[in-house]
Amino acid sequence: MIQLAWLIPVLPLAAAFFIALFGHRTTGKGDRVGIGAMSIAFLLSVGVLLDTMGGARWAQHLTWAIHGDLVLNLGFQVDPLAAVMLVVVTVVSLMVHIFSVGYMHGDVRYKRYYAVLSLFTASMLGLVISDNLLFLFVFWELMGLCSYLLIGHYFEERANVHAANKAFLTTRVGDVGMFVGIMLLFAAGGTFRFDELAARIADGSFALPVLAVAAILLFIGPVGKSAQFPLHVWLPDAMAGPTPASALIHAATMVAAGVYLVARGYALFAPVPQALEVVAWVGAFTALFAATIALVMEDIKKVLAYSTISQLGFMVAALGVGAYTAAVFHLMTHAFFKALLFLASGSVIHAVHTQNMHQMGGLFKKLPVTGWVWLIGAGALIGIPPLSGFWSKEEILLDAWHHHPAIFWTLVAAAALTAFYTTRATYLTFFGTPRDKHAYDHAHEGGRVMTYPLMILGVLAAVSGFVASPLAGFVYFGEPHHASFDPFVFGVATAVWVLGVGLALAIYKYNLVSRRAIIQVFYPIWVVLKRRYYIDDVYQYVFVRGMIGLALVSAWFDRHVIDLIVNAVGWIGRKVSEYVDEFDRGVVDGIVNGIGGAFVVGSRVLRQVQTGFVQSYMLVLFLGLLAGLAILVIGG
Amino acid sequence: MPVDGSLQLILPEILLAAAGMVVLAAGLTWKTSRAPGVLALLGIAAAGAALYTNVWGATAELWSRTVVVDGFANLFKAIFLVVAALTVLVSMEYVQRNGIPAGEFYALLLLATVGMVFMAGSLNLLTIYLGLECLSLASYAMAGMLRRNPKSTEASLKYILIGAISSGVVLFGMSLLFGAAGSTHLTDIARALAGSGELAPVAVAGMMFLIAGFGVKMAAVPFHMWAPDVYHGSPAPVAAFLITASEAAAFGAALRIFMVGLPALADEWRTVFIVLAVISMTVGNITAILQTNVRRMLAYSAVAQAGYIMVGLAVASDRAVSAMLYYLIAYAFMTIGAFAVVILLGRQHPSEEINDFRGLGQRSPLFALALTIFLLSLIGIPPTAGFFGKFYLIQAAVGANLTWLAVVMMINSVISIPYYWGVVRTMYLRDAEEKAPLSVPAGVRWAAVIGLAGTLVLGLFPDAVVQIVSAVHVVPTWLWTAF
Amino acid sequence: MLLSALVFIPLLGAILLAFFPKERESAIRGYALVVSLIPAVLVYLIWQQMDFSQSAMQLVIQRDWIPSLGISYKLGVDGISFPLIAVSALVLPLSILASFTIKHRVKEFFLWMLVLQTAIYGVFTALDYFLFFIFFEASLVPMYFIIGIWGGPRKEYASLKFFIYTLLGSAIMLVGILALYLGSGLRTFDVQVLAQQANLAPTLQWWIFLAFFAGFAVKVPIFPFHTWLPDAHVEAPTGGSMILAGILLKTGTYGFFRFMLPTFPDAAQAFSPVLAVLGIVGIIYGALAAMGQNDLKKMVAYSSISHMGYVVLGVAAMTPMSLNGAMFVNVSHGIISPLLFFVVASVIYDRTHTRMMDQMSGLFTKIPVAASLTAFAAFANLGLPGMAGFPGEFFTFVGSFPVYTTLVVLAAALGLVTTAGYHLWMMQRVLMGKPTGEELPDISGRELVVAAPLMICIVLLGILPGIALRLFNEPIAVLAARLGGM
Repeated sequence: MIQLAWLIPVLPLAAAFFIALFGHRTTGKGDRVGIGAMSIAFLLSVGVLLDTMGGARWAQHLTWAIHGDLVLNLGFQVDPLAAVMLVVVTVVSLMVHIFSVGYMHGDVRYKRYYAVLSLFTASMLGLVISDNLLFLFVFWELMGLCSYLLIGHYFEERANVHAANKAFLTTRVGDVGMFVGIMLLFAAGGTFRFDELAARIADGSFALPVLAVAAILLFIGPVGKSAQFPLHVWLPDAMAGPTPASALIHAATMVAAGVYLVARGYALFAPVPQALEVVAWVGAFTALFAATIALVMEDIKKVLAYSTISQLGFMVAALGVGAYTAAVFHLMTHAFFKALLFLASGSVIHAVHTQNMHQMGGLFKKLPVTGWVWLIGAGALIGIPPLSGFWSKEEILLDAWHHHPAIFWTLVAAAALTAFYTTRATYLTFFGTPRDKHAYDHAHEGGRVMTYPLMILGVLAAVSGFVASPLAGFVYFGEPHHASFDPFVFGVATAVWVLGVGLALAIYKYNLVSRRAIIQVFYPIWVVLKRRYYIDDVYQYVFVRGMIGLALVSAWFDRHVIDLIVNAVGWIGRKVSEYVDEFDRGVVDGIVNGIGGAFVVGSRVLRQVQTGFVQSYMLVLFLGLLAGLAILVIGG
Repeated sequence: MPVDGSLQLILPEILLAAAGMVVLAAGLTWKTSRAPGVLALLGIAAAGAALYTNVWGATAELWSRTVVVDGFANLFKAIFLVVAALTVLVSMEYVQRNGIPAGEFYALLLLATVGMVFMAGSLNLLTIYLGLECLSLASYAMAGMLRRNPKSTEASLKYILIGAISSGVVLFGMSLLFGAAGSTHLTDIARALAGSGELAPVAVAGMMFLIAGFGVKMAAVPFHMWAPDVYHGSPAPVAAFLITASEAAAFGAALRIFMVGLPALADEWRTVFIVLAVISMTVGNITAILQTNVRRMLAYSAVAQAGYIMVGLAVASDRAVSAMLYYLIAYAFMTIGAFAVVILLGRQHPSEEINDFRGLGQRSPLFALALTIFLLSLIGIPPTAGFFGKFYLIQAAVGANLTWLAVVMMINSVISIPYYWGVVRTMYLRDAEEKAPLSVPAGVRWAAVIGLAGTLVLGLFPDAVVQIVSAVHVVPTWLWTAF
Repeated sequence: MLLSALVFIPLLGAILLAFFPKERESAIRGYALVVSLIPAVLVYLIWQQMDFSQSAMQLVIQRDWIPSLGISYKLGVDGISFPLIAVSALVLPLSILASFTIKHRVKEFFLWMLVLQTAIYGVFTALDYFLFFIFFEASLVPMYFIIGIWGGPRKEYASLKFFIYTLLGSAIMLVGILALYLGSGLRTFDVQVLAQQANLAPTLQWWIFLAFFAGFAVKVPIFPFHTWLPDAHVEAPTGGSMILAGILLKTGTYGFFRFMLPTFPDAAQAFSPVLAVLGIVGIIYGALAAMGQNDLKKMVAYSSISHMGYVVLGVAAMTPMSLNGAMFVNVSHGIISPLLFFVVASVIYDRTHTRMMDQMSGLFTKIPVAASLTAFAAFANLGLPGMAGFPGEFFTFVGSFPVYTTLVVLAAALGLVTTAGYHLWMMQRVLMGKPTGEELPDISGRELVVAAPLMICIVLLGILPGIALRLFNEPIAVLAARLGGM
């Protein structure tokens, strides 16, 4: 089965093209094709994973480009890390594909949606099995395109287009850093391949400072794609896209790619502690920072968006502290429970046609399936044992505690906030009294096409944590390891989530403290959080306006300065021409009259030539002759 | 030397002069018909045939060293004959339409040609002067041939006045040289000047006068001021003839005088010609930009072109002379061709403003295309004769370490684009009120076609002509060895 | 023989076209298209006969032409010229097909288009400076008329500016050619002989290099000699813009590869930092200026300046990879920019009758297929991986990085984001948003036929750049070795 691994990205890719070109001629406008391709890809992935667990490996390449003697290959490989990711991506994507049949029903751009969805998945799968930075970058960028198209799906609204542009451009900023990093690595190592780069590092071909700079530059890419601070701004806005697409972006593809890149290129980071330190702090800070914003969001998808940023921060921090296996583990569990939460929120939105949690409430009765799976997802997100999130988060915290206590405490704080905002969102959405009677009355579950994917993901979100041990022995960097249980860490983790959940319930369920009072007390902080720390505003004013301003200045400069020079040359030429012309015709005449025509006195013939010009012609002639003589005599 | 043999060698001149007489006589009988023109053509053809069969390839000096026959002279004779023939072609209908006495007109044309031929075929200052006068007097008369047109009369009068002065200047210069060297023969002058240093200032002054005098005929700045008036006022075929043939004659004579007679003063006259070349092309081009009248524009263009050609004199190497000769030939074709189209349009728009060319691209695609190619050639854009001529000239200049002069020339050719190309733009980009196709007299058509063929063939396959012009020597080395 | 046929068949076709009656417009169109397709067939035959594993000139044809000056009629093709010839053979028929909408003075238009083809094929095959120069200049006149007669409102200004500007550059280059001819003492205008044997004094090499630079820099165009381009592009009719952007600009960059680098390696190396800076400025400045435009065609025109900056940068760095990258950008831009011009200037303009972005909105809803084409072209142009724009830029940057690290980083940082920015902004303003105005017809079959081959090539080259790379890899390697590149 493993030798068919190349089919896994190719199938959805072919599906994407097929849907784009012929989708409107097929039944279901292409959704069947997409789902079919994804199903096969999923089955293949499972087969590949099984083979891989049995010790099989696969690598293949095609010549892509030749420069002199240097051959660049289109190379692919499957190793345990890739195999795990393949399954995660295909399963989530398949669920999204199926769910979308219900959610996107009747959409004007239904065909386009499915084409992009397939292409998106294909890109991620291609990225996963790339054996070199070049192709990883290629698929990375393609995902940028797909996210742009999906986020801008409802492009009639200017705001959605802005969100799409923002996503593309912000991640592109990260890509530039990554691109420079790739160039630096290539210049120093002469290859794009991960294994060769690792070998060069191992044999000491790299100067450590170069490697450090390259690693940090490379990390800017994931900062953009995985929405880490300070390039996280695109992700919450990316909620403008259809909700199932958000699930895909936030769980299995786009944002996972960043974490995956660091994991895949871990050999570059591992020898440079400085780089790891940067990675760890960016991750930890982001985890906490995003969690604070999630506290005050009213849009259910925005809460999940900031939660995604925060959880990605956990993974990045884990990589930074050396918890490679834990990071990949959390990437996997998060993919399941976050996809679940997003699809569940999609189900809610589908039912009530609003995203504002303050207009929901009490939906558990109306949407029992959605409610239950949401609870599983939320539990996993909070880290309630034995749900999947608990295991992976516990591993991260364990490793952090052992390697970097400061990171550990930051993550713990983030975990507490996570518990709070998750509980808040859950309560506001599903419990309490319905705040929008009309929406509540019309709410109902989507068809089976929507509930089944939710249930499947619910199961995965619940049980996927149990693979921790085999996974750790399977996906690892350096020595395989599995941190042993630490009662202190467990205790702290349990304490904080209990605290967070309790506090949230105290406020939102039992109204022990009035929300209004809290806002009044913490008003300045509340405003700052509401405005997302003003980062978006600063970017808007400094970078976006700055760039447009610079562009307008450049355009003006081109038209009015550089071109002016060109036109001025022409204008001066014309002016000179006018003067010479005038001189040629008449000025000399004045001189002649001034001199009194002494030179041609008494010439009646000339007087009869009414124009008098001939006199001047002759004068010039003789002046020229005299000048020539004078020059020659003086010069000679 | 046997008399009949020597007569053989100037048979073309004799035939031309005789044809002139015949045409004059014929003109008395056929005042308005084309017969005199046809006769003139036949005369030119006969002269051409004589040139080809009797003279081509020969070298000799005849009649007390007053007339010389060599490749250089023969080449110029050929040029003059071709130009004269083309001028006759474009004149046929023009003369008839404007009521110009045909017999006189063609007779004068032939006489002027005889004068030019003698100018080129001599190493003796006296003969050169005689040829010049013969040419000049005929030209003055021709310039005033449109008797009912005050502009033409004015042009003629101005031309006479300036021409008289320039003749005087030339003659004065010649006498100074004679005083310095004791001979009117160029080889003697060269030998005399080479030996003695103290006579130099007189010779230099003589040289300067000659430059000024011939400068008038070449229309080099600052001796050019008559040119726009004359080229504008005189009958169009006459203007074409003067711009090409008369200018070429002046250059031919100058080449002989300076290169054969004054090699000792080469540094001086080269410097003067460099200066004249630069200011001529620059002033000519810049002034031409503003002209709204085609003929005035072409007049200033002629000034500029004279500047280009003068680069050959300024460089004065063998290669430069070849290039110059090449350019003169090319220039003849493209200018006469351009004038043919101007004459064609002049039938409908006697004012000959550039604006009158509007829509010519639609009305007469062939002639518009032809004029476009002539103008391209005048600018110096391949694949035309003008381009190769400039290429050749620049090559000579660069080869003589006068790269800056070559650059000045190229920049000048760019400066010239707006006015030359302005005509093209008018022809193709502007629409005319009148859409009817132009009727084309046969003579004009043929002149344009020959001009076009010449321009393109010289541009695309220049090798034959290059070989001819590079085989020509200004300095008659065969004469040298005879001493 | 093949090459001579390639060069002169369009001219022959043009001469025959002159005898067509003016009124038979559809016959003229069809005829012009057929004539322009003949070179495509010939290019296929040439491709069959060529061996790309060697760097030598192939299918050389040489005849004496002006032996007294050492000028010969010499044509040849190698891996550097072939891709550009192939692009021409693709773009030229399509540009004729795209021009079927021309209603005014039809015969003249197609006549000039055919004459232009001869000049283009001639430029890419000539191996004699004199011959090359003739073709190089000969392309100006047809282009002048194409812009000047069938152009937009400011056509006269734009066409004359184009004409004078490029002639000024090539006039100076002509002096350089002659200085090379005379300075080398070889008495030949043969490009290869001069490249291999000319032994020029360093100062002379410098001056000649600069003279050549003047000619090609205007044509490319390199900042700050570029201002003719936005005007010419904006005013030109669609077919003209396609040729101008797709092919004529490449005659400038081709000059670097064919003439300047092989013949003046020392001067080129000495000049390389200046070139690199100009390239980078072109990339960034072009992108910024593009972003500041409201006129769609002008935006595309500035984006051409930006992309030509990559070529200049790649040439300046002189490593095998950077040179390959520059060549690749030549090819990719040669197929992307015609598509982009076609969609914005023909498909969109013919429907909306405006080129101003702020007057369009929601085209995705109104004309979905045409709008998708626009988006496709825009993404190709911004260098999205998987399309032809990416590999060239990537190789150029990666290849230049070791030589001009800071500059490349600067260009990447400012250029890539800005480039993405103005394309997205364009799409936002033009394609997205709420549709306004009346219903519009979507893309026609003829327009699809124009776009489809370009799109196929864009995707193909994007996925498998090796198709193009293998053509010029060998000669570029030899060239890089001659330049002593890394």
